[in-house]
Amino acid sequence: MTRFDHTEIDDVIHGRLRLGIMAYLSTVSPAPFVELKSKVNTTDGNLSTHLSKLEEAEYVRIEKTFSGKKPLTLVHLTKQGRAAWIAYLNRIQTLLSAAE
Amino acid sequence: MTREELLSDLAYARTLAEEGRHAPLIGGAYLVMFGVLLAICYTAQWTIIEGLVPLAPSMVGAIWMTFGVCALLGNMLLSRRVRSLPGGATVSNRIDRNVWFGVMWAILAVVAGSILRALRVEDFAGPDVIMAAAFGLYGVALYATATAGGHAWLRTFAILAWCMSGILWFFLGEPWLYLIAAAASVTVLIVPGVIMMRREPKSVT
Repeated sequence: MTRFDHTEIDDVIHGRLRLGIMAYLSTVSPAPFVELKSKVNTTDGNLSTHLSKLEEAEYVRIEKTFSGKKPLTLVHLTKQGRAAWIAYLNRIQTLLSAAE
Repeated sequence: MTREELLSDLAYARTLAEEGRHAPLIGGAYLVMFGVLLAICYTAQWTIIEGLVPLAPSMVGAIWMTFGVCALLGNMLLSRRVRSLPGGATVSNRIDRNVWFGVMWAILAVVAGSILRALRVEDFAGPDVIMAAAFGLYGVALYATATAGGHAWLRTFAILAWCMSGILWFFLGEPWLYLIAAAASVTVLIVPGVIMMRREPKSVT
């Protein structure tokens, strides 16, 4: 098995769950919290924890709003988040190409 | 971290990104509503023009005003339904929503110009022109949505709409075109609308 220098990869993105969150948000933004939770197949608490990390890095923005009378939490991918996602994919591509 | 782990993570990310990219369309109910309303109005207009019902030709205006009111109310009701469905923020659904919004304004511009022309120079070809232009625009909207979301099946309906637009332009002024337009509304609006509604997610899955 080939080993990679993982220090070159953006740690904020590269948890499996956060990777899933960023991937889904790259095509669906804003995504309702409940939709995102279902897509990445996790619990409310776990998703909240990982979203907080992405929010701290300013990769996502959380919006609390209402749909009619029901509360609705929307997760937006920010400009920085999209740039970080693209940079992450480029980095991975470079690493994989170098390992071939 | 191994190459295999990395590839597995990327495959996972790709699956999620594609789920967003190819999400089901949720605007089918709008297509069905407009298809039904247009089919009814075109048929009603045809029966008046052909003299099949004892109504003055001026009633055609009343039919289309009723259409406007029904469309407005229907839009308000459907927006609640569509808001409750997941996937509204996907690229394909955003494009679908916005391209139809643009089509609506384009048709309204054609309607306004046609009405003004009818009033100013008494050229009553306007309604036929609206119909022909509208089907061309429906084709553009269906094609854009099909391409954006990878819904290739929708392209067939776009092509049908363009064919219908050509036919309507060619036979401009023929009364029977309204009956053809009613059938075309069923084909290029109601049918794809029903297909979309059958595929739309009932809840977040």
